[in-house]
Amino acid sequence: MKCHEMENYAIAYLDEKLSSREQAAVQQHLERCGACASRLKSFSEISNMLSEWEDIQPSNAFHVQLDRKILESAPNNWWQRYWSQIMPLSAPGPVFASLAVSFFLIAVLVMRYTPSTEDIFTGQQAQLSNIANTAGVDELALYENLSLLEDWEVVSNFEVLQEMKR
Amino acid sequence: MNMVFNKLYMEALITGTDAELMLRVKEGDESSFVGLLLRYRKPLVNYLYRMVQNAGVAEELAQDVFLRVYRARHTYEPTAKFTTWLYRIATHVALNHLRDGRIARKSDSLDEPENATARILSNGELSAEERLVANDREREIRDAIRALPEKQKAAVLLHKYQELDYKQIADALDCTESAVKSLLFRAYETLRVRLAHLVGPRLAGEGRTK
Repeated sequence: MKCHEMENYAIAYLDEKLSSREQAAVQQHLERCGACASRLKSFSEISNMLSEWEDIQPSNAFHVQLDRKILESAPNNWWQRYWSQIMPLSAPGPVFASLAVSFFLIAVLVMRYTPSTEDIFTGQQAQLSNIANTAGVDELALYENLSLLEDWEVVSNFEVLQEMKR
Repeated sequence: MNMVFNKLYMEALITGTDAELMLRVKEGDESSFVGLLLRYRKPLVNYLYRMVQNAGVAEELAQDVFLRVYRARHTYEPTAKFTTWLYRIATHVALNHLRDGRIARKSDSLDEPENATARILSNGELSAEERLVANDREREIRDAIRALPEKQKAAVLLHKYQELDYKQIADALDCTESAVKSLLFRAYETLRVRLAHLVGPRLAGEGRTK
């Protein structure tokens, strides 16, 4: 046996897990090679030293915490149970995600291109108020410019109406 | 469920191999799961504690491992040894934790695992000076193991503390038996250099010789 072969036999030799033939071959090499013999002696000492790192005791809360984790992971919510009933065969993640995204996009498109009557009404109102605001005039001025009130001067100075006010 | 745990505690002291217990868990027998928990809680916590070197994190990770086992009960097949499967999951969980860098956030508690310190300080057989020396030795051992490459570290811990055979370690680490022997050789070679100054008479009684 050569020194570089010891990599595969050294630990098993110390563990006494080699066949009697392999054990004898290693033994023979160690008798001739001081470096390998020294290395294995050190390995044995290191292994003993590692025993000084003693075990710890798990805390008393271990079971309680595990208990909680198991409960949290179980499908105990009503919606999970309901979901598992209506969908007993769970779809693979990517398939489910693709379907969900497609459904969402279709829903957005339908809502986007189907204006309701309320939208039309509020849209018109907004348009009128925009005109008023962008023109920089108040409502009174706007009414004065309407066709029905274009003769406002005449109407306001109409004698009959003046009489009625009195 | 905690009540269930207490109620089933005595029932959990049931006989049977790990695989038999796991098959019973698969059939819905929760007391068998408690049985597995009682068998492997301490070794698993200690394996994870030595991997991440933080007692609190180790407990959380051990709970995650048991949770994974519980959730996988329906698909369990006794093709491999239960311990191999358990430590395979545990190694995966621990390495993920270390790679995520979450250990950095807990670095304050790394140097002084509370349980280890309390244990050493409470050892009435040692004088104050001897206690300090023992504390330093253990810290150096922990540091030397922490500095090992991840796979070498897992191999050493599974071999030395969990006493898994080469085949089990190979299955847990997803490599060959020959690779395991090589990992162990290189790990011990590194530890031999790093801990050379500590080699000598021990303060406390003899430990395991494996």
